[in-house]
Amino acid sequence: MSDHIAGEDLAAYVDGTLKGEAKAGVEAHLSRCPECLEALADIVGIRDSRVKIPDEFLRKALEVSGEGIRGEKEEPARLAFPMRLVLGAAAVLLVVVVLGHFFLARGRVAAPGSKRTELADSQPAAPAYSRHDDAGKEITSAEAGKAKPAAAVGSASAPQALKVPEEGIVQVPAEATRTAAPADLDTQKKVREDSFAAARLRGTAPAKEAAPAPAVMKEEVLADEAAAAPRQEQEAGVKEGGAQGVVGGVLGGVKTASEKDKANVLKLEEPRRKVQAPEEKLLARRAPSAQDAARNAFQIVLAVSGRAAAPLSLHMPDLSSGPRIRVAGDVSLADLRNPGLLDGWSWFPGGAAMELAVASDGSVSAVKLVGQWEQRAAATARTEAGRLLFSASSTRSRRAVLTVSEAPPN
Amino acid sequence: MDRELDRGCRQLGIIGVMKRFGNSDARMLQEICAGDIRAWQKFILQYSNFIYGAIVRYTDDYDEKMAVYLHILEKLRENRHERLRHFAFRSKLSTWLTVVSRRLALDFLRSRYGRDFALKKIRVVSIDAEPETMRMLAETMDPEKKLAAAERQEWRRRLERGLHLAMDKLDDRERLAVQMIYFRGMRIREVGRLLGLPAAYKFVARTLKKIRTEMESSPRFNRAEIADALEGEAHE
Repeated sequence: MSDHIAGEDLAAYVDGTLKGEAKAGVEAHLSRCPECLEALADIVGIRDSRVKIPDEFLRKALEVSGEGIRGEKEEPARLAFPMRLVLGAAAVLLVVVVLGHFFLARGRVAAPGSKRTELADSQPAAPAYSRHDDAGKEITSAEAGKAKPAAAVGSASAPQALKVPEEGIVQVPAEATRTAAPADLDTQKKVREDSFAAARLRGTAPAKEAAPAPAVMKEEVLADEAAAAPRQEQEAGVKEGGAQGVVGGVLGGVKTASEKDKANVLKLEEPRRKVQAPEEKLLARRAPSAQDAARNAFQIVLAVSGRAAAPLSLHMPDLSSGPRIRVAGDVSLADLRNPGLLDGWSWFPGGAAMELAVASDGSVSAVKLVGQWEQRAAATARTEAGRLLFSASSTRSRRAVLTVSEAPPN
Repeated sequence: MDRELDRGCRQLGIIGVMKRFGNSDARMLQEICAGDIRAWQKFILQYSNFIYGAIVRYTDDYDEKMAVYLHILEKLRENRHERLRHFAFRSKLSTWLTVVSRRLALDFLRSRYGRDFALKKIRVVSIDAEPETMRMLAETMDPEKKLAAAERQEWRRRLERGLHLAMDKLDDRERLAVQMIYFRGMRIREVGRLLGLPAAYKFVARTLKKIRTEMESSPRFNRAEIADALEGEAHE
């Protein structure tokens, strides 16, 4: 082919753009080369022919060329191997970070909308205590859990038989965790500053009146009645306030009791009147466990920021002194508007219990002492209990059970 | 691509390139070489008529035309549009593409049918449509006419040989002009444009006179034979 005219030279000659010696050389070659002359004649003829390509050819060409080009398009766009390696590593790192963040955040505080916190899931890290009943029978969370499907945060955890320590306190899964709603931050602060004298768990009620009171503590004693008086899970507080900043989260202790306790308590009840008032009917409706006392409690104050949470401090109340009070029934300790009132309750001679009828506005309308009380202590108890104020509720009246431990565990 | 473009620009001058071809073709080829699908498809739509024109000159079979057409596009696309990248803008893109397409079409057909593919391809034609063929067949069947045809053929061969000898005395441009016009059937005007002849007709007439003079100087041809040899049609 080198003996013939180059294609571009021939094209330039046809177009008349070839000048000087180049043109003369091409003409000399053309005059003696029949093939190149034929090519020249063909090209001139083709150029002047004005043929039109069928549409089907174009369609096919565009179809084929699109596929081919797509294959070639990737080649110049392909990155060098080191760059690909770096980008690949970055992608893997990103996935790890995202997954890590997801699981880390999930491990601290459940995402809004979830039904429980991860703290409740990771129960070994949140020990709580329960005690044996009077007969020395081990009270397990399994007993309580079978009748309290949705009573508290920890209800989703698998019930386990727990080992009984010598003091009669068994470790059970944490039954309740809570975070405060932002509207109650002041209350939370105030409560946190308290001396934790009583065995109580800090929390606040949800702002909505229609919403049932959040459960801080799980009451196994009343497990059989949980269905009749369902309580809202405590994540409402997490939902509302979890992303608002630092709030307090409390991990509370749990008390358990057996059915036998309830039978004993029923025998101790004092029938006062034949015709009972509505409040008294309410009080008599359920049998409180007089012997069940809030012996121990501890708190973990959590800082919740966004989805992540970290323990700020671990507070263990002085178990050797001070009363340990727990509130159960249709309300919980969290429903107490001013739990500081309980700080002065140190006049109990021994383990005692009382039932309170709580009106819809949260005030205590009736007090019923359970068990044997000294007269003076009974009067004080009625007075002090009457001063308590619970959260308001759309329910016309509720029942509260206050139990006080008879003695420190140690 | 840029290097080739630069080379072309240096040869013709950047202003010349822009004036002559505009910069649309250069930009389109640049985009094609960069892998722009739209530019390639635009190229196909814009220049396929030239490719197809080169194809129909050598085949009239539909499927074959399609195969040749796609083959040419594939060749233009191979090695990341190497052919297009080496286009130096010394001519119009359409003219260069016609040259390339013709060559690729011939390569394709020769690879399929052999070098003399035009002779080997069997064309079935109606005899009624070709009366000249019938006449030639009749002549070959008649012994007298067959002898006369052979004599005439020999005479023509002698004339052509003498014509070529006379043409060898011409310069390149004169010879090329005669070949283009009388042997390839090109128009005188087109030949004048290609050769840069301001007066193509006078140039051709003068060249024919030279040939006649040369042939007359040969004792093998008489004046009538020379006139018969130089008798022919020239496209205006």
